[in-house]
Amino acid sequence: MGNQRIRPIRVLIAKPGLDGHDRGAKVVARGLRDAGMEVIYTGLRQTPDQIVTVAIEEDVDTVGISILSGAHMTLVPEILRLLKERGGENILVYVGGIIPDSDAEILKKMGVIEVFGPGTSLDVIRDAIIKHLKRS
Amino acid sequence: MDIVKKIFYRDRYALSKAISIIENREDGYLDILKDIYKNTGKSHVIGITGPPGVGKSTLIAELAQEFVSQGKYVGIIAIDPTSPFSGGAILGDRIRMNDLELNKNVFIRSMATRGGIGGIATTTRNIIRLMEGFQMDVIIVETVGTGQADVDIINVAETVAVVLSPNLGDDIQTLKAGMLEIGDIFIINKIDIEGADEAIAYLENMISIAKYPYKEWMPVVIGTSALKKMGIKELVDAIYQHKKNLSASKGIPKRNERVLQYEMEGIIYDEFMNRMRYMMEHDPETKELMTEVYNKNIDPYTASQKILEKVIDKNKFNGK
Repeated sequence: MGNQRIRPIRVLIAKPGLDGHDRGAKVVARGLRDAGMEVIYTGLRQTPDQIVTVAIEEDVDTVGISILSGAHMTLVPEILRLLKERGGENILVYVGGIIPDSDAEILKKMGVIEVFGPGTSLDVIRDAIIKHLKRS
Repeated sequence: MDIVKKIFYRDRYALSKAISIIENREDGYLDILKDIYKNTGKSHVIGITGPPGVGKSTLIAELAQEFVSQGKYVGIIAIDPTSPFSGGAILGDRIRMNDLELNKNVFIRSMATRGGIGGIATTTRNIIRLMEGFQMDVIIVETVGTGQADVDIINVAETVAVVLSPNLGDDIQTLKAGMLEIGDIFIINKIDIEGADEAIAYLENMISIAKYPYKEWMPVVIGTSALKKMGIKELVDAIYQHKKNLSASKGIPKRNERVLQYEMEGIIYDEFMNRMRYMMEHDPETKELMTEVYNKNIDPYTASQKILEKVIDKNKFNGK
């Protein structure tokens, strides 16, 4: 019998580190909700350990990291490392925020799927998530 | 090691994966539930319900801390609504539970209602089973922020606590049916703000004139402030006392029978709905019948009866 329930995509929107600006994270969370995804939002000032713990407990398909503090080269690699260590290597990681192009390239080499700068439309983010989940 | 055994030995990763399998009704979900049943039944399932914004999540975080400090392993299922338009959801209860996230004796899972209308999801009872199979001591279920009549929580929890806050209405509000009939424990949270004394008085008055099914338990009213950590110990004591009193009476078996009936109705309903939808969409005979109804050669009532017989007849049903 055909599976009658479609599995909604589960997304964790995370704000790591000392960064109190969550308007962008909330706009993205809302946009992905409207695209039919289940979005877990955990609030401000999360440690990489917390973010990875939640990602595993909630069995999310993807983690979107919103970061405007400039500490992305420390926080993002740590999140990637912990995900790998705890069996979450299949969880796709996206980064959004103020990230210089040269850093974005390095992050992508480390395993980040995509880096979204200011002004990225919600459609682009949604399509990127759907496209990569189909492939993986 | 199979997944049920892994869950029994408290593998958190296995629990998380199994919850998704059940929630999505993926292949093999029934086998997991069948297999885990023998390991269930030892957890104290506590339902926390109440209107949006009264402080349910914050209170649960404090409650869980208290249970953990007594050496208990705590599972939390936090439910938020699915959008009827997009099918998406914002699951934001964890924001209030940040301090628990790294606690190794707490497992939190957010759930969207996915069409469930009684304040919980249709699969919530199944997820509780998984957490029981994990040998949780306490399982706390937070419903969506409820209105007056979202009362499904009584069908999955042994102890139901209704959380309210001051200034939600006068004593006539507390007389109405629904929410205020289902509480074993009533909590006025935010007792540090004005109007708390009146709210407690209204509720106590309502309880004193109502009838309750078990003589071993009269609902109690407890004042708490989750933010200021007031009243939490008293609340935990009341929760224990409720289970103790009902265990000594016929109350708990009666409740467990109701819980079991609800669970089984859910399984049958799910299977039935799946079969019916499959028939309506894929069975040529059924489609033909619907055309006949459309052309007024047969009435919809007779046709529905025929379809119903086919859905429940194992020999006739060829959906598998």
